[in-house]
Amino acid sequence: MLQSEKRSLFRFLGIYLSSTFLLFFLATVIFYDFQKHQIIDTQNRGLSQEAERLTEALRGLNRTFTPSLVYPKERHFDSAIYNLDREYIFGSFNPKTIFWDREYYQQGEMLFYIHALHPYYLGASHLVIARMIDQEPIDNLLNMSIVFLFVAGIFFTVLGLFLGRLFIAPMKESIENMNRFIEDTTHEFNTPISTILTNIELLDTLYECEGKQEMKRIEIASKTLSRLYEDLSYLKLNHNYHREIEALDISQLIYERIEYFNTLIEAKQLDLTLNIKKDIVLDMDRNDAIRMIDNLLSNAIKYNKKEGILNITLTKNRLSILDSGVGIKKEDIELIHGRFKRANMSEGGFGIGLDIVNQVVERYGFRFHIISIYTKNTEVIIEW
Amino acid sequence: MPKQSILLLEDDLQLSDTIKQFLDYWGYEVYPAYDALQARDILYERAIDLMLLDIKVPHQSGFDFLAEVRAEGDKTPAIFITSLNSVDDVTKGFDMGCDDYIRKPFALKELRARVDVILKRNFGTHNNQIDLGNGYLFDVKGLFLSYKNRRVALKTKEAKLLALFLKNPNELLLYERIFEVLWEYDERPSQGSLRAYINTLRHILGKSKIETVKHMGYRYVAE
Repeated sequence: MLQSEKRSLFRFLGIYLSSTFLLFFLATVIFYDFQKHQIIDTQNRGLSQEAERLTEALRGLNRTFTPSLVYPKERHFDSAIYNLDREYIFGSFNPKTIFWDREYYQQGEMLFYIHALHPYYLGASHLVIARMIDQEPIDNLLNMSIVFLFVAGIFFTVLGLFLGRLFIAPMKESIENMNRFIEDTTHEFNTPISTILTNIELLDTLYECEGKQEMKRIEIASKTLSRLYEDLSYLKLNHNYHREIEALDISQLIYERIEYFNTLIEAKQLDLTLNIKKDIVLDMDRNDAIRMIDNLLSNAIKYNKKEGILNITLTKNRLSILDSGVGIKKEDIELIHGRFKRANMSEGGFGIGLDIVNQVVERYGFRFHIISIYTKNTEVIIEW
Repeated sequence: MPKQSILLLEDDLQLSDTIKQFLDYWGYEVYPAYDALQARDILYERAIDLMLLDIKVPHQSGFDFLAEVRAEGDKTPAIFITSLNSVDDVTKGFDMGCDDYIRKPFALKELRARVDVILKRNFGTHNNQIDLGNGYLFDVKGLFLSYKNRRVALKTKEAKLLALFLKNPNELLLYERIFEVLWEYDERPSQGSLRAYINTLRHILGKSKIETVKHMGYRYVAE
């Protein structure tokens, strides 16, 4: 999967999953809350039934007039009776505060129920009855909700992944198609470019040709085409291209590449200054090195002004190419440096040239700097 | 005067013509083929010194073509013309018995340099000339004989025969093989003419240099 595909898949999954989770979480919370109330209501109803029974017992007490009044205590709940002034008379417990304005309420772990007695028995006007909340059904409910959320989460993640791939599939396919198309077309470029270049060479060798200037222009144009082609196939194949790392004579190679660009340099009448230390050797694949040097040289020539200067300096651990061209704005330099750090030039805007330089620099762990004065000059430095 | 013959397998007519024109100019005989089948025909009909093979050609890829040719025991050297896209395949190419490759787009100068290296290798030398002793030199590029910087007049077939001997020193060359190389496929080989050519060469090189192996062929004795 491509970087961009991954990114959009992750974005899609992120939004999709977080919104689904939020929705399900809210729904589960509401459901949980509702169910919990139901459970407590049931328990409250239980309390009021108990209160009825207790009232019945009190009524019995009232009727019997036995000398010893025994308050009917029950094991699984507490109760107490209060007089009209809401003063404590007797009971199995004596809570500190009682919310008289409510019928049912919950305090801590306890459920309270205030039952008005009618008529008043034994001077008691209110019966307060309380019991521990039965936590078991609530715990069960909580567990169930969590399990539900978890299962739903897994289900929706799987569904999301599936949907995401489904959405990406046509995109992926068209990218692949396009890549194949580019590959095929660039492959087809090869032969006509070869034909043009070889025929220019033939004309040069076989005939004393008039119009050398025109020939030069054709040569420059086809060399540019040829380089574009090489760059394209390099980018296309970068990952699965078999590299042969050798001890490469960079000094020699730079001379060769300058020779290759000579027509372009002459056409722009650039003042070329070479400061190339001999026998600088790097362990590199030849093609990688050529692509890097070609793109640096090509940029330095392309953006140079006519009769400008081009200084190429090679020392033991750095290559510097200075041109007197259009220069690069400060913020653009930062942008380029930033992208170089993140190894992401493919966002475009700087042409495939820098992208290729970036890939090579990245692969061999070189360092890349640009020093530029806008509208004046640009120096590109590669260090190793 | 005989020329080094090159089989050029390239399906693009323009490029093929260009390469042919260039190599013609430098004195090679180029036989262009535009697909693998034509290339096979040419290989059957002529004695070829070198094959230049493009990879993407009709009927059969250059690789498969070479593999088949090699499977039949033909050792004619081959150079692949490839693009970067198939650089990986080049290893495959070398395994199949190609001797070099050149990447498209290429400079003609480079092509010529590579062709020359391989053609010289046919004679087992890196030099342009082979010293035949007693003052004679054989030019491996132009396939001509010189004596004290002057060209020695040889018939085409004589020069071809000499080149064949020099390419296969100390090796018994059967009549059949010699006929195949010296006479075109539409010509009639003649034992009598061959004997005459051998005599001419013996006269130049010295009698003992060319041995007759009865009823079989000849052998060139190199020191």
